[in-house]
Amino acid sequence: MAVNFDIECTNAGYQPHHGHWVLRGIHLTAAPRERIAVLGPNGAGKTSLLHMLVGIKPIHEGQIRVGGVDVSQDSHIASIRQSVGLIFQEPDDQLFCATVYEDVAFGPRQMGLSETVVDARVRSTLDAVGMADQACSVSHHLSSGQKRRASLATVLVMQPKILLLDEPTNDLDPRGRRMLERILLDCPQTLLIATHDLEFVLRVCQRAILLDQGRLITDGPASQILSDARLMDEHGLEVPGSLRERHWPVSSGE
Amino acid sequence: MFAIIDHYAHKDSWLHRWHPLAKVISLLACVVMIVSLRQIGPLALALLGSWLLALGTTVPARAILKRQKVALLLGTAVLLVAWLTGRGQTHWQLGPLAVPVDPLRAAATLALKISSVLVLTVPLLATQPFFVFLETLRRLGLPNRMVSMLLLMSRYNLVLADRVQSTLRAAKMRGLRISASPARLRPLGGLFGSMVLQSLEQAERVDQAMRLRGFTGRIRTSWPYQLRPADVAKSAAVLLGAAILLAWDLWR
Ligand SMILES: Nc1ncnc2c1ncn2[C@@H]1O[C@H](COP(=O)(O)OP(=O)(O)OP(=O)(O)O)[C@@H](O)[C@H]1O
Ligand SMILES: [Mg+2]
Repeated sequence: MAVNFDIECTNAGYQPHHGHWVLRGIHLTAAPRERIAVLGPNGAGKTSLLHMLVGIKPIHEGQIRVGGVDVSQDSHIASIRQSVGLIFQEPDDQLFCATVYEDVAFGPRQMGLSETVVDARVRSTLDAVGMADQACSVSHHLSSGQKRRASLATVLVMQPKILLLDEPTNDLDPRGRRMLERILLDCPQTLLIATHDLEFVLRVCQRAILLDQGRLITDGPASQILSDARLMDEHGLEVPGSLRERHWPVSSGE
Repeated sequence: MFAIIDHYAHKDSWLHRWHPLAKVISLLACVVMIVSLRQIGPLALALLGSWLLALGTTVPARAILKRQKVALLLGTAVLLVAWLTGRGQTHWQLGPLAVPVDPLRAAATLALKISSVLVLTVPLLATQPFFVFLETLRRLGLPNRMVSMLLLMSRYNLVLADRVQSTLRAAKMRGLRISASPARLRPLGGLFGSMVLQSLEQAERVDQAMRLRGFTGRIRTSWPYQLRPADVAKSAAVLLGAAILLAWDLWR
């Protein structure tokens, strides 16, 4: 194989309880360090796709390889989970320890890192997401945006090779969004970002895929897809304001 | 109850500096001894001792006091039941009021026991990160599965309480009235059903999140502790205090 893809979906499908297909016929490849947006209306299957990539949701058809490893084989799951970080759509699912610090330290400790390394990593990550002052706060009592930042930290701290983010900008204030943008633009990981925040996509992702009713509708440069008014309208989305004002596509903002 | 866990874990006091294994063993032994006391005098002193330990943890007195409500409530309940069932034989005459001595003593004993034990949970739980407490229990032989369950429970307590509150609030805003009529109770049943379902689903998602972050059945945590003479001295002092109370209780 000429190119080593970080993510390779071939005809992947997911059909819970033998009911309707939530996802079907998904072909997708992601090269290392690519930043790809996963777009689509509510219920399109974005979250399901991210969950399939880490083996939380089973693959009922086709194949998914992450980091060259087949996801459907149970024996590979542990190694895949070492190299992939998933940030859940609901921060409450992600935060399960009493304090922010303990939550962020959980992953590195499970990796068996020494306490000095854990502490250094936790502090620098909390600093990066603007939560250094909340290290000792009770996770459950944070505001929604703070929970979002904390759950981001719990995954960033593990320094995975591939990052899957599910609606990462939800609940973030403008400063929080800019912070997230900076972190993602600087990070060396391959990114897959499911989101409805199209302005964010324009600034962070070079590429986008569009899902609707479990099907992959299109795959291409983010600015091109987002500026296609007819396509966006057909699938319950709309051209972001910044593109409408200029009337022509702009290149992804770096 | 879980609100104070970890909140004061990073403060500093002699209780924070006490080796977790020595501390947990000593305090659990104290709990056992307190539960086996039978007389008001030793029990009152045990409560005093528990308070002294709890106040040494930097947890504010108000937070500790909150834990006494349960004890007062249960004590009162026992008093009422004993009184109503007429089991008190001796009475103190307080003016027109005949105070039954035995039920009063039973209620006080119970309230004192529960109070002391609840107050002791403060130094037990609030003076080290919860993970360290769990790791201590694991080192004392608690199975990994139980340890993980305790971890989830500590978090779920809060999530569940919040969920019950917010679901009820949302339902009330949409016109739910709580009353004893069967027609009115039916939607409430559905509500609790969906809350249980939601919680189960969330428990599953949290389990997934833990696995994604490398959890394979055993929680790893930092253990930078070494047993020093000071730790042994602290344990000895606390256990000696409890033993003296127990002796007093037995020989009085
Ligand atoms: N375990 C399951 N059982 C039944 N249906 C499911 C299951 N998981 C997902 N679905 C269905 O699959 C569809 C896609 O869900 P998914 O959460 O992936 O959508 P999404 O694109 O992330 O939507 P949103 O933008 O609202 O987050 C939904 O209609 C959902 O009801
Ligand atoms: Mg979703």
